Amino acid sequence: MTPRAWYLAGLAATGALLVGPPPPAGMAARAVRAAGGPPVLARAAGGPALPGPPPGAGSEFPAAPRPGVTPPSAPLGPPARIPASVSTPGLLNGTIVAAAGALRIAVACHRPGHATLTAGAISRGVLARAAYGCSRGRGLVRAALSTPQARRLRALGETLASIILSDGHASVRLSLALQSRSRGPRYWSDGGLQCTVLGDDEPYLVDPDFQVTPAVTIDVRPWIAWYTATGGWQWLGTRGVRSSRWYRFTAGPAGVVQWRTPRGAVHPWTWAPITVGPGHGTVAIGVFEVIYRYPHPLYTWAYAHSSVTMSPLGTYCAYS
Amino acid sequence: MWRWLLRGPWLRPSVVLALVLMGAAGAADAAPPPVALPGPPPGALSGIALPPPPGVDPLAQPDGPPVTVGRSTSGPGLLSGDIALHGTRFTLSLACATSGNARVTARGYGAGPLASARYVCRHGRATVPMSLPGGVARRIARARSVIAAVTFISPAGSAERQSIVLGADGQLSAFWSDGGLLCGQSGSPASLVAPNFTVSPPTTIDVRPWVAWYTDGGGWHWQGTVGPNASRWYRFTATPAGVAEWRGPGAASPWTWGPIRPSETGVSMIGVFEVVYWYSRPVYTWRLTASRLGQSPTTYCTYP
Repeated sequence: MTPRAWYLAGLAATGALLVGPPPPAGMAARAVRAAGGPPVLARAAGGPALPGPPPGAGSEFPAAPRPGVTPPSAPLGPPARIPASVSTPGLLNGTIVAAAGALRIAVACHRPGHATLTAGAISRGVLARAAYGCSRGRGLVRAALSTPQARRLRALGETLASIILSDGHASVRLSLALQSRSRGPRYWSDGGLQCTVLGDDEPYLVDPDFQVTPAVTIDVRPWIAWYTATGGWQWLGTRGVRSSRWYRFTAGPAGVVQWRTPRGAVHPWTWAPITVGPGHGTVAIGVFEVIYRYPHPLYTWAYAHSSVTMSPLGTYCAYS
Repeated sequence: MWRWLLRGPWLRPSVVLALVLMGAAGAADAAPPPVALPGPPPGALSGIALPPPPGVDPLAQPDGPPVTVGRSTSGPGLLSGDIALHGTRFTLSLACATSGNARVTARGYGAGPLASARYVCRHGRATVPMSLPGGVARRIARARSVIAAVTFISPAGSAERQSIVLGADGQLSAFWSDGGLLCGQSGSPASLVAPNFTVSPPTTIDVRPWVAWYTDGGGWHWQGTVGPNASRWYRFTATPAGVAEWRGPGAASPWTWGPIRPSETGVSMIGVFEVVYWYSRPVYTWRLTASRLGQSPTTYCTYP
């Protein structure tokens, strides 16, 4: 991916949140593969559609780093447990293609509710409001973009959106990737969930080793998206459900500086252990948001491949 | 299923399957030698430690403690840990004292047993024919081999868990290219030396050492640095020139475990090392080590 293509991909993913000239040649972060990279799978065989961007994607940014200050060592991800059940609605697919301006957003639900959609890069204020029914745990939010809004989305190609799902008992704000036409998912080229190294129901998350020339401070926010048939996609961060924190590192040409040991080994940031309650048919995938603290900061997010015991790489970790 | 792990650059294939054929070169003929290799250690592929923290080299590791093997065995012992799968069928061969039940499970193949059978112990031996579901057998055949756990349950209800490697392609065990048991001369104790793991690029490794010991009456049993059927992980930094922590001004001084004394006669021993390479996507493998009697390579240290 060229630096400009990289920049544009990041810009499209963030909408108008972070703008600036593309980084000069040599400043591309090389940890990412865009669509056309590994042949894996917008949808794993028999698995759900991908979860899309994490909650609060492209927002809640930490303060810029102070000049001349190297990031202190960041804490590891704390022990965590993927909850057996949740009371809030969940998305079934976090990437929505607005074919001819029509939006169809499938949700896992407990009762009927209504949805409010916003996308700052398309228009200020509410983009659409719609009620949805709930039958056998599934609902469908139908909405339509106006002609100018659809035109704007076509110009962007892809942008982040926020959706609030409320059903009278619970309300949840989630993120979506709105696309004017279908694009392949983006994956980091390394890192990701290790499905069963520590135990059959005990994944852990490994940060990609971000490589950047010249070196730059990065802020990384890790997530695990998990899916069950009853709950749809839900999000676990290092601070709990739908809440994660930013971790600050220095990304250099050889990878993250803080992860190199004096003897030359690389120990990436990890989040472990994470336990999965059995009996829910859970699948999970790692997602990382990153801010490259260039003079004009650059934000992006991407999935991370999962390392499955039975085959080296896959989309999801699956637990029976 | 882990066969792909064995293709990594860290494994120097100067390896020594030939040593298996050489048999117990240092053995006297008073006690029958093992009929086959022991297979993977108990709990293989499980009990892996948390990954190393960012940016920190491993702390200094203790050597292995003095230990005596050959005492207080309970339950049957496998005569071979390499089990050939023929279609859906395979057979376990045991040294035993009582009849009992055997149950086979494997990670990644469901929580329940893949196969179970009752066995009858006659004259200290039992053979346990077992059969896998067709779909499981096909998956194992595609993966070429799988590490499985065998639980032997006595009539009194006590259970002993051992590991096997189950596969369709004959010889399943492999050897590290160096390290191994240094056999004691004239009945003196042995010591186990770790292989000098070479890896490019450098990475942290966790190493779990074992001694498998065999008697004609008991079959294969396992001794770790924590006790029978229990060993611990030791953390080092493997580099292109070997383990960084073992390098000194002169020759490398690898991690060593000893003295290892047999408690009875007729004992054969062999060293085994499990290793986790802490790459971004970690890799697990296990291998046997060749033994040495003086300057002569041998498969086992044998105490007739």
